[in-house]
Amino acid sequence: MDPYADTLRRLREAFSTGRTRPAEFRAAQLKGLRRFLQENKQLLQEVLAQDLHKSVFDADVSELIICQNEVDLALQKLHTWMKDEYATKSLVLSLDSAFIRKEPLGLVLIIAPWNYPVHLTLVPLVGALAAGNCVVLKPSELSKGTEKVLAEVLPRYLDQSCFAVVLGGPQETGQLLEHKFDHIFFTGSPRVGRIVMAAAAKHLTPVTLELGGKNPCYVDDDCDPQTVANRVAFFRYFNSGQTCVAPDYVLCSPDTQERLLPALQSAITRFYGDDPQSSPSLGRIISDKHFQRLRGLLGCGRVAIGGQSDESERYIAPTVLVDVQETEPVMQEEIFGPILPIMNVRSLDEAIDFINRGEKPLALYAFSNSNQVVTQMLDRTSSGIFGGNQGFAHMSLPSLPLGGVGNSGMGRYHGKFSFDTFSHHRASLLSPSGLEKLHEFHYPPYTNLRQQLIGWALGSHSCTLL
Amino acid sequence: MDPYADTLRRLREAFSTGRTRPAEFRAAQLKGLRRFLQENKQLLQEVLAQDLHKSTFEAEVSEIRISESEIDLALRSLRAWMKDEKVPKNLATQLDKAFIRKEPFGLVLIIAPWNYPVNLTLVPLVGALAAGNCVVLKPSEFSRRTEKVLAEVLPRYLDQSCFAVVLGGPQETGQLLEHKFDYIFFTGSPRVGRIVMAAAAKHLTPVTLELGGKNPCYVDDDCDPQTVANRVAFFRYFNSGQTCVAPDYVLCSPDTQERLLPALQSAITRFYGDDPQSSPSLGRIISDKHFQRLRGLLGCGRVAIGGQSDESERYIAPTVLVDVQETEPVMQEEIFGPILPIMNVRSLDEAIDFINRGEKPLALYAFSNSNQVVKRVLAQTSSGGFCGNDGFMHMTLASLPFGGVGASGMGSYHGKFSFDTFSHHRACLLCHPGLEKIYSIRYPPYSPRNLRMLLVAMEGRSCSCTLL
Repeated sequence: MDPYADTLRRLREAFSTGRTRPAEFRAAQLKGLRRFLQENKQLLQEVLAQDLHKSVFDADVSELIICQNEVDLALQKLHTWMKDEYATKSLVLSLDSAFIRKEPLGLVLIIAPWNYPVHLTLVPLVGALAAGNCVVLKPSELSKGTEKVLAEVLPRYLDQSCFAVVLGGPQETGQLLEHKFDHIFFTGSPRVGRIVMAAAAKHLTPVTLELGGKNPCYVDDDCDPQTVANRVAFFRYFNSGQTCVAPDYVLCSPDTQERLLPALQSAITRFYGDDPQSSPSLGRIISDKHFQRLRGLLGCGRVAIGGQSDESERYIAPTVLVDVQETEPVMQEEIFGPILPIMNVRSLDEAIDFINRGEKPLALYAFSNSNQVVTQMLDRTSSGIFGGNQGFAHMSLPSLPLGGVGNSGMGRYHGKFSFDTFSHHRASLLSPSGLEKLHEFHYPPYTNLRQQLIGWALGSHSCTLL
Repeated sequence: MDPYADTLRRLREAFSTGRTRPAEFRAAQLKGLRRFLQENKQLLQEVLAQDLHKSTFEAEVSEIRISESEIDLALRSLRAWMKDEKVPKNLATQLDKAFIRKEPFGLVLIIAPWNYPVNLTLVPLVGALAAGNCVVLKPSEFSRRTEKVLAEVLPRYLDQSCFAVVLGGPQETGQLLEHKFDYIFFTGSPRVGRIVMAAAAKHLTPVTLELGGKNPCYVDDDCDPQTVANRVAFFRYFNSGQTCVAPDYVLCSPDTQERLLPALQSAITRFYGDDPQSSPSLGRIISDKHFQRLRGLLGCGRVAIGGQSDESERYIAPTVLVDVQETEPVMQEEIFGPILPIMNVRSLDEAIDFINRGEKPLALYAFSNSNQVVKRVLAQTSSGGFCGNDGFMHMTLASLPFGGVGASGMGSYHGKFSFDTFSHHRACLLCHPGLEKIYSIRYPPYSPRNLRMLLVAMEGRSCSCTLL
């Protein structure tokens, strides 16, 4: 029994009627999405608090407002993004119309994760709708409260002949992936990313994979420890560390570690109080499985700050580990929790070598008062995104593409990049139907004169001949 | 025994030294490529003639000149393409530097086909080198003599610590694909495209797949038959039909078919003479296997023009078939030969429905005196590229992206699109190491006042002008 075949057929038929093509339809969908966010703000804040113990502030700043901004940007820019883009022509084509036509791909699948379950579901959705596609959304089953709202409330705000939410776990997702889609947008782990891409390969479906990795955070000797500690702690412990672009581990000299530790403690206390477990600003771990995994990591190296945990709440204290070995689990897997290991290096070169030995991460951070040091780190490494002297503020700037490289992913989105991700850019050339004499020079048989004319016409650029 | 491990390791080590990063190095590689084409022009014309019976004209225009043009464009534009791209900022990031840094991926693999063995190997190579990658080239073993030149002569013009040519057939290519690359660029059939993408998935390697399909060519009743026949015939029989973007079949009404047939015969005679087999302007089929395949297709429908073949030369006459059924092989597989079937439709709507029932093709053509008709076909179908009233001229414009959609492929290249294909676009935000008071509004514990200030700062539409 294939639970998805009917839904997918229905959506494909809707797409083939051309329903989703006009700008008015797309704008109406985006406005529906905006109303969903506005009218269910409190409900969304509640389920985010249930699922991940997100504070209202966190929910607003990292989920709801980011989605609002993306919807607003898409509404504002829709006509511009949809417009045919005219291309520069050569002499031989100067009478033609040459442009790039943006077209929807058709039926797209968005598989979303649990850590920012509103943001990471709706921001891709904005791009898919703006680009004129029909969409199947598969929210994460782990963020159960949010999943319910997305499945039961969101569809009421959209045209349900062109949009569907499907639910399920790994097995159901596997079944879903046997079907053909025209684009698959996946946010999750590299392990599952491989499975998604392999399934897509069977249908020659293009994919965007927003994956993860261990995001290095290099802290130079030349820095103000308290400033660095504030920034690193803020971005590390936000959402209880469950952020694909959070600093995963620190690389610094033993001296800098000595200066950082009290500064980190100070930042943690200022942010979360003396008893972080009672702070409304600290999240909780999504599931028992992840909680157990993280509790296991607390045994690596030596706990310098924090280390407490409470199974009944799935609470893990903001923790800093020192004296960790490269081979320990905390340095082998993406942490995705409120644990920050510090690895010692003796120089910038050693830090760069260490980083380059690993897979390319989604994000890479470098803290230094020296521009030169930051620039060197940028020039000699690779990562999806890079932050100098701060964390993932990129999220607030839709003019920057968010995407990984290598093991951390392929493709990118946010703002116009989302629209382009979900569009086919069709090269179009409209020639005059007459003026056949102008074409004759390139038909066989080929005389010397013809060959010369062609060579000249092809090699020229219109501006240099006018 | 893994014949590739050493080569790949060597290239990866070279990449990690940073050798390929500076613009000077990349420009030197591109200049080397240009010298390769200039100094071996005659040799290349010879091997293209031997492999595919290409005339000097076709070799010049569709292989050598196109490649040279791309090299020249890359050399002229290299620094502009490599530059960090600054992006607009909001209030929250006003004091920061926000830009996109273009970076090479690392070690890229280019798998090239046999039909335009110089163009379809070198044009991707231009992009890969301009973007600063190390490159492994796997040319097609079918275009044997061109393969030899690419393997033995080309490397002398490039830095061989960063570039290698590997040879082999399907089995060797399969072995090669077990290795990890940082990008794979493949031109070939959809069937093999799936295999390449599945292999890439194991390593999370991004791919560009330039595939194929059946490129429909709609001919409206409102047209000048001779003009249409000239253009369709030229693009169909070029390289003996072995072109991924050639018109594959015609869709038109029976009336238009009646007017087209004599016009097509006239065009064919004008282009290739009364005995096309002796024309220097007509190519030959690449291999016995493909020749046999095409000869089989000559049995579909009814031969209206041509239909002759000569096994000893792998020659197939420029042919037009009529009365073909949708279920016959000639309408089921990509033809890739000098055979043009005509399918009848009774209206534009029927033509569009027919096209949309099939897979999305690499190219789609519509011929009509009416702009409206051409625009309707464009608006109601999808394809990699589209041309109204002409053949695959869109390929000659480096400012248009060349690529497929759906079963005809993913990704695109030519010109700057090649450079972008082989680059990682890294979003960079460089902030001030001080000014902590400003950044601290986002730290917990959270107050409504902080939230309000943050919202204003994140507001996308604010720009410095409205706040000064």
